Amino acid sequence: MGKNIMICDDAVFMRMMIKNILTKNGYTIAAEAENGLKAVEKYKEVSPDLVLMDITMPEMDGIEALKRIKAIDDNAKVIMCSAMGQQAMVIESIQSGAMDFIVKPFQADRVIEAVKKAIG
Amino acid sequence: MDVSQYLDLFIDETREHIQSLNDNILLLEQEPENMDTINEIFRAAHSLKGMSGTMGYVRMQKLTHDLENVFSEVRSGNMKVSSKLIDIMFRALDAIEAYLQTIVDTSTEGTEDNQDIIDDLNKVLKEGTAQDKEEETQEQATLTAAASSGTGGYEDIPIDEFLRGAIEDAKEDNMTVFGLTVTLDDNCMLKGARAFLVLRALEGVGELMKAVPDVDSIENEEFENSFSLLVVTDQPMEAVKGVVENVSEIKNVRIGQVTADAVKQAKKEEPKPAPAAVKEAPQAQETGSGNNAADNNASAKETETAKDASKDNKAGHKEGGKSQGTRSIRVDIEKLDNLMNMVSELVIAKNGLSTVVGRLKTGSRQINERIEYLENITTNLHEAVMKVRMVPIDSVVSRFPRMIRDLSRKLDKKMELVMTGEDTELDRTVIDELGDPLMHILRNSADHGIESAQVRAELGKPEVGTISLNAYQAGNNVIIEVSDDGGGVNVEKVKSKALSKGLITQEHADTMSDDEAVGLLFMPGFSTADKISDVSGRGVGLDVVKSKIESLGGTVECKSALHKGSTFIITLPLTLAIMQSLLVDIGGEKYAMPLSNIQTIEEIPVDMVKSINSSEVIELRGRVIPLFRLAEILECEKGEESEVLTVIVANKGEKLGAFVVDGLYEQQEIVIKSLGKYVDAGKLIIGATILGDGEVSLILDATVLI
Repeated sequence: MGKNIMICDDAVFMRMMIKNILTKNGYTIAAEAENGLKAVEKYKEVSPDLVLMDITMPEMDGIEALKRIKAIDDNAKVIMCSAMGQQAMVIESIQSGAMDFIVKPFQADRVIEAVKKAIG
Repeated sequence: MDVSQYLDLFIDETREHIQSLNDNILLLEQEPENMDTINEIFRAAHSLKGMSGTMGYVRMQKLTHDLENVFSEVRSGNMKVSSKLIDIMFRALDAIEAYLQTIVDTSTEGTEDNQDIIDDLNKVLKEGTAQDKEEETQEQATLTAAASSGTGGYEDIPIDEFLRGAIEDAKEDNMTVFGLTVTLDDNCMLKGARAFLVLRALEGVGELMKAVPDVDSIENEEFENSFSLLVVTDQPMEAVKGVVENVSEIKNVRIGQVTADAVKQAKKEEPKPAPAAVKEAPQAQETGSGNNAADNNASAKETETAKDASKDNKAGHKEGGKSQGTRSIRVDIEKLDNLMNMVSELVIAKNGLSTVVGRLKTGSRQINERIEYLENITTNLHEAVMKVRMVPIDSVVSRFPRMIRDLSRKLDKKMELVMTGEDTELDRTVIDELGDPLMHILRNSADHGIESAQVRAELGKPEVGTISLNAYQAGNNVIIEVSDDGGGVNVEKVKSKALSKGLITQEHADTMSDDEAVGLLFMPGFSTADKISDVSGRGVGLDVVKSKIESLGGTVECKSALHKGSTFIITLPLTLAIMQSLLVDIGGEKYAMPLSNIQTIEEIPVDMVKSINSSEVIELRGRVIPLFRLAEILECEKGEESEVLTVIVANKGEKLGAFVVDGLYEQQEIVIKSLGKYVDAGKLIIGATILGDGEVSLILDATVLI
């Protein structure tokens, strides 16, 4: 059975992109969220196997969302999506419990590599 | 990776970001310190960079990257917003828009590098952050040293007394000490964070004794591609290696056991701490002073701003964001047209049904109830479909503040645009056509209306001229008013101009009211500007605006007061397809008149009709209103003269007209069907409709007679 993944990014474009990469590789999209706040809500609803989380988002950024998700479920697996120049934020997310990170612009094989390492 | 499938989405979303940038930069010009605005701009530039990079538009990515860089500095308070910066930003924005246009047209970004804009951006960046220069140079020095220290393997790690003690302790506890040299992928980005992941992974299996460069430097990306570690663990070598290799983007891991012998050797070789740094120093001078140092410097700066950024973000979401995207789907307008058409047919069918039932006379209460229910539903359905087609005029007017700003610079006049009611909605087909006429009127106000600051000062007006655009809904119409507090229309000048162009006669000019004179502005071939500027007055005048608005079923009029300003009032119908109408009898035939501009229906005794200048008028509540006998105008068969006239009073803007009809039927929702271009019925007849009984009736827009 395909693993359930939740995508969180404020750009529809990015969500679409990741979604296609993942579904082509046999993963199922559990939910999509356009900001951190929604991500936390939806995490509670669908309990995905993995979350791909953008860092820079309106309403609530990815790091705060990560912390809240971790508070709800300590075993939550979250991979951060960052852009170049966000090193400190990525480190902060790793400290807060992110498993891995991928850097925009995305390369499909990198995304899959990270996802595979996280949930197989 | 094939990205063409994302192109549409990319284009749509890029457009949104460009608009957001446009709005926010304008806002920033007003409030250079507004942190929310700065954050918004940063975020939009950031998203654009990520999106264009993913699509492989490298030039666009480069430009947005530099834009983001500048804002990153502004955001962290290292730089102030200057008017120069705003100008460059607008240029950059135009360039991004040009990229987008090229992408829309050709699916490639073209070959324009916009190097001049990039250079200017970087220049501004340099100037703006000049005060931090000294600090940076210092930083650079320490960085150069640090950068060099990562190049050796774990064998070169200097071991001091403390470490040696720790290694011996470990051996006694049956633990092993491994030395690791981890090399990251060449194209790995955010190396610092990647290395940090490695450190975290190792913490799971053992304890980190020593890292070269030290942990802080690793986190700050102050190393080349590799770093070395000493780890004490009770796990076998393979397990330790495996943990590290499981981290993504690792090129290779070199691992070996570190023993007391090796320690001794190291000690003999170099007793002082940090030999690696010393040993590598000459090499660092060769390469480090060049590109590497600069790179490292940049990355350190980036890290710094990123830290600030994360702080800002935290502050941001506490206040609660404002820019929440609306949930929407995109639908082809043709599908909506089709839907509207079918709803129209449904309305016709419903009208037919209720007519038949009405004729039955024996219809039971039950049938009537159901017909009423059906009527309710079709009306609601019609409204719902209409709403789907409605778009806020925001999509048209949002580009105007920028335009006025540019005009203000170009014309060297001070002015500002105040807009209200941008959320007023209009039918999509109307919106699409509305942009040009509105732009023309605004340009007109900016060019001809607003005076130069000097003249304004002499007249005792505020130096900055105001142009306002107000939109609001009134009944079935939407009104858009564009007013300025400029010079107003010089009636005498207009008259003499019209005379010289042969548009009116001298006699006509003398008897003309001021309002009529202002109306001359809308005549074809009229342009009052003394000199032709490239802003307005290119020969295409307000007559084009007028015909455009009229083709949309609307009207435009102008009110003006000399030295006080002018107001253009555009009235547009909410929708073009279905409307409420009044069915009237003229010469024995049924005509439909739009209900939206009917004011009152009056019974007027024949002897109340007066004659002024050989045209008929009536006096109603203190106003003199011209009277039109529709039967005569339409050349219908004349009915019997009655003692009392049934008169419909309708308005066109501020003007009223009284229309004589022979009788009234009822109010009905009608579907407008075009007569096609082969029937030139003049503007009086705007279309036809099918009534409930299958009869065809013409739709009269009598107000054109006024």
